[in-house]
Amino acid sequence: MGSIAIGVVIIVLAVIIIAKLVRIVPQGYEWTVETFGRYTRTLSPGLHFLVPFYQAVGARMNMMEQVLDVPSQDVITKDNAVVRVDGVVFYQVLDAAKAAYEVANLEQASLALVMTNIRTVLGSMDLDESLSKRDTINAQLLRVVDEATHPWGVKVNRIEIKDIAPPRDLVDAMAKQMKAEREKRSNILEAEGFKQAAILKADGEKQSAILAAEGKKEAAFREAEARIRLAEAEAEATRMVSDAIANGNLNALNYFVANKYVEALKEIAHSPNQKMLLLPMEATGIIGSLAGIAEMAKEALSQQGTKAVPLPR
Amino acid sequence: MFSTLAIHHFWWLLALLLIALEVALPGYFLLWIGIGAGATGVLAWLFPGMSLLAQAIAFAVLAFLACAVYARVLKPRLRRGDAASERLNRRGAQMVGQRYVLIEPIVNGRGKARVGDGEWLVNGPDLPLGATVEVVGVDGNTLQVRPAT
Repeated sequence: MGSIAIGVVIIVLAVIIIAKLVRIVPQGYEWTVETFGRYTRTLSPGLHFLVPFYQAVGARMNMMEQVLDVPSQDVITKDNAVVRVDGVVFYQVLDAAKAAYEVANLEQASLALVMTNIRTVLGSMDLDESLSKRDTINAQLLRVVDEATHPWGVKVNRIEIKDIAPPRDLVDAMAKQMKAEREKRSNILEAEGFKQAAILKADGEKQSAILAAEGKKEAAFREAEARIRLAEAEAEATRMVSDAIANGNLNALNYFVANKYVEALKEIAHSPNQKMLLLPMEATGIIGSLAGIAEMAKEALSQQGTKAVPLPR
Repeated sequence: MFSTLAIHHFWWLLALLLIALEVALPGYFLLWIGIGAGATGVLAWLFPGMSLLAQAIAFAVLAFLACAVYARVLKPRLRRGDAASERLNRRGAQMVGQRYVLIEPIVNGRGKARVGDGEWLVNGPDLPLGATVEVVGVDGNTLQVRPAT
C-alpha cells in the first residue's frame, strides 16, 4: 500500500514539475525570466523550457502597440480660459525587461506623464492657438513624452488630442465674434462695391465728355481747314484769272462777263412769275461787250482761215 | 470486462486522454506527460511483473525524457523555420537596413532620426544634422546607425 502512495506522489510531482518546466509565450508577448528573483533573460514568443524552482517567469509584457485613453481634464490656457481636453496615446513596449523593471506601473506612469505634459503645452498657448494648432500640440507632446518614456524601453508612437472643448459661454461668444466678423466683411464688401460702381460711372461720364469735346475740336479744326482750302482755291482761281488777263486779251474777259450777263438776263426772263424785265442802266455796256465779241471772233476767223472754230465758252 | 484489461492498457488510455486534452487545451505540458504515460505503458507491457512504484518512477523519468528530447533535438530544428515571426512585434527589427534622415545631430553618439512621422533615438558615430543614416541594428528603442554611403 505504501509503495502505491509513493508512486502516486511521484506521478503528481512529475506532473507539477513538467507543468512548471514548459512555458509557451504567445505571439505579441515577451516574458521575463527571473533566477531566484533576479532578471536573467527574456523569453520571445514560442515554446521554452525553464528549470523548475530555479527559474521562474517574472513579468509578462505585452509587446503589441497599445492604446491608452487619456481621460478628459480641465486645462487653463495662457489667456486664462478653461478648456476640457482628452486624448489617446499609442505606445509599444520595445524592451520587455526595461518596461518590466524600470518602472513600477507603466500604464499609470505613462498616463500621468501625458496628462501633465498636456497641461504644460496648453498652458503655454492662447485659446485660439490651442484650438487651431492641434498638430503642433500633438508633435510637441509626442516629443516630450517619447523622450521621457525612453528609459522604460517604451516607444510612444502617437499622441492625439481628441477633443478641446472650451466652456459653453465661450463657444457662444466665439460664434458671435465669428458672425460679427463675417457681417463686417460683408458690409465692407458691399460698400466697396458701391464705391467701385460710382467711380466707374463717373469715369464713364468723364470719358464721354472728353470724347465729345475732342469730337467738337476735331470738327472745328476740319472746318477751319476747309475754309482755308476754300480761300486758297479762290485765291488760286483769282490768281489764275488775273494771270490769264495779264497774259491774254482783255476782250476774252469781256466775253466772259458778257456771257454771264446774257445768261443772267435769260434766267430773269424765264422766271415764270416775272412779267416785267428790268434792265440795268448800263445795259448798253452789254451791247458794248458784244462788239468786243464780234471783234474777237473776227480776229480768230482771220487767224484760222475759213475753218470754223467753236467759240470758247 | 475490466479483468481483460492489463495495467499497461490503463497507461495507454491515460496517454490518449492526455494527448487529446493537449489538443483541446493549448498548454503543451500535457503532451510530454501523455508521451511519458504511453512509454510507461509500453514498459508495463514488456515487463508485466513491474511494481506500481517502479511504474510511477518510470513514468516520471520518461515524461522528463520526452521534454528533454524535444528541447535538445526537435526544437533547434523547428527554430530554423520561423524567421518570419522574428520580425513580428519587433518594430526595430523591421527597420534594419532602412535609411533615415537625422533631425538632430549625433553628438557623443546620440541623436535623433525621423522615421515616418515620428522620431527615434539613434546611436552611432557623430554626424551633422540632416545626414542620412542606415540602420544596422536595434537595441530596444534605440537604433544603431552608421552613415549611409
